[in-house]
Amino acid sequence: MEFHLTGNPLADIAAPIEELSESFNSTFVVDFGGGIGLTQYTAWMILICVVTLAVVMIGVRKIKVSPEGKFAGLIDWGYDAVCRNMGEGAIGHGYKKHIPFLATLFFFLLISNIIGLIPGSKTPTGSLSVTWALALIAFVYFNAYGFKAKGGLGYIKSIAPSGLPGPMVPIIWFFEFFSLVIRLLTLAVRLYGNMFAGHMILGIFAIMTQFFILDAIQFAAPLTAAPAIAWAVFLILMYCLECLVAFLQAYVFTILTAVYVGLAQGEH
Amino acid sequence: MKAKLNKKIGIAAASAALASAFPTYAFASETKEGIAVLIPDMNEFVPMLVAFLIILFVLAKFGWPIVDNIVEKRATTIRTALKKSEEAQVEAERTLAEYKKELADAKAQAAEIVAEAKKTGEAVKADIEAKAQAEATAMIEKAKQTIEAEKKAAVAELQGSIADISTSVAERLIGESLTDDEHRKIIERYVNEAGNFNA
Amino acid sequence: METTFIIAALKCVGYGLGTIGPGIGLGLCGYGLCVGSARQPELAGKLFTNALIFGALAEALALIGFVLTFIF
Repeated sequence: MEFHLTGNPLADIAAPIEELSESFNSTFVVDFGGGIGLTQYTAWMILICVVTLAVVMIGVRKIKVSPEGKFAGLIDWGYDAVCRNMGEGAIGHGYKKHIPFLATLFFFLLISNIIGLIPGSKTPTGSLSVTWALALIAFVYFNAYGFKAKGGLGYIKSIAPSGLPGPMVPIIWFFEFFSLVIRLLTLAVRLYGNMFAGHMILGIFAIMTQFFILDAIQFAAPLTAAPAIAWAVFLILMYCLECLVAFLQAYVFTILTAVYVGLAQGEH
Repeated sequence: MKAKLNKKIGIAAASAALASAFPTYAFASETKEGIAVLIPDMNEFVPMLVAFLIILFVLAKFGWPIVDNIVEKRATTIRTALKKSEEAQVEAERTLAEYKKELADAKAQAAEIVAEAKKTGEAVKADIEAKAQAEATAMIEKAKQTIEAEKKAAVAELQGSIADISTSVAERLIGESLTDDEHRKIIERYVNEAGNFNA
Repeated sequence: METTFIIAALKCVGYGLGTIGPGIGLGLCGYGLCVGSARQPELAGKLFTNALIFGALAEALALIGFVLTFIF
């Protein structure tokens, strides 16, 4: 038996990576014909909606005046975080009426991101269309409240901050307007990019680990064993990072929406 | 809430109608080129929109108000408990002050009684001393008077017997017997004079 | 095939260069938040809100770069 120092682990790596990349495209799971159908993201999204409804509706029945129990405590803590951190912190005065929207958003995103961490599942926010829908809802929401608070023309005029010298107002207004419209895009793309890229990285690291370990076992080559262990360690680290990013992105989306609502309503 | 929801549904429907004007019902497994990457896929966009609005409506009506109520109840419970404990503390302080005052009063009264008792005691002592003193002086006086009386009686007795004794002594000295009456009278006279000088 | 490969490679390099600026910007945003909160902890809430606003503004450029990678 010949002694190899290293095998050739990256020899046929093109096919699995292609396959991985394809698996992130939306493919039909249920086809209703005529181009309409349920993609895998939609299927997961329906599941997440059901889970969110179940979790919240059951959780709120269990909350008592003096807290007890872990599940009820979690829901209680989440609601408290939305109320205090995002409501009072970001919106300030008059935050009560925004709490249902923000809380629903936060819980939906949190549950969807966490369920996406389970191997073999897809998080619905990993698809740009889904995050587009969420960002559109948030965009319409805060603009609607801006119009309600300041009146139609007043809101448009208030896009440029106050206290500017006369000639600069149109220029600044234009940039601020562009920045406002960009908020829709950035909200959607931030969430999508984080979720999509994170899962893609996890997939690639898993493929790398698999190939290196297979190679080390097959060829008994010592020089591919060490990178195999390294890939495995990186995989675990990236998994931990993905857990953090799941929470963080849900939190950032919600609190940015809250901040935009606060900005649109204006300081009194 | 309903108006806002209707408005949102209206806008969503409008945007969906607008976007569906562009032929982006792509077969989803094709990779898109150019700007089409950014346009959302209707297959996922519309279900997401509808589903999110549904759960928003359901939770805002049935889910979150319950938690809101409980948070309110928690706040009011804590507030009333704090207020009650504050009132109880004020009450306790007041009662404490009252008891302290009573204690001070009782102490003052006790001190007063003690002082009075001491005074009475001293008065009684002085009284007793004075009485004893008076009694003693009275006794001494009486004794003195008795001694005086006895002395006088003794002197009188002696005076009586001295006459006889001197007669007998004179008899022996003189050697004659004296007749009683005349000589007795002379000697009594001398004794009385001597006795008076002695007395 | 070759040109598409080169174009794809250039896209990645371009995006990588484009994240230098927003990376530094967001880092400065976080630095300001930490130092400000350390000096005056009672203002931490307001500082956090402002940091999020300016972080979102800086991140917008990175996200535009990310999107352009897919478009062109």
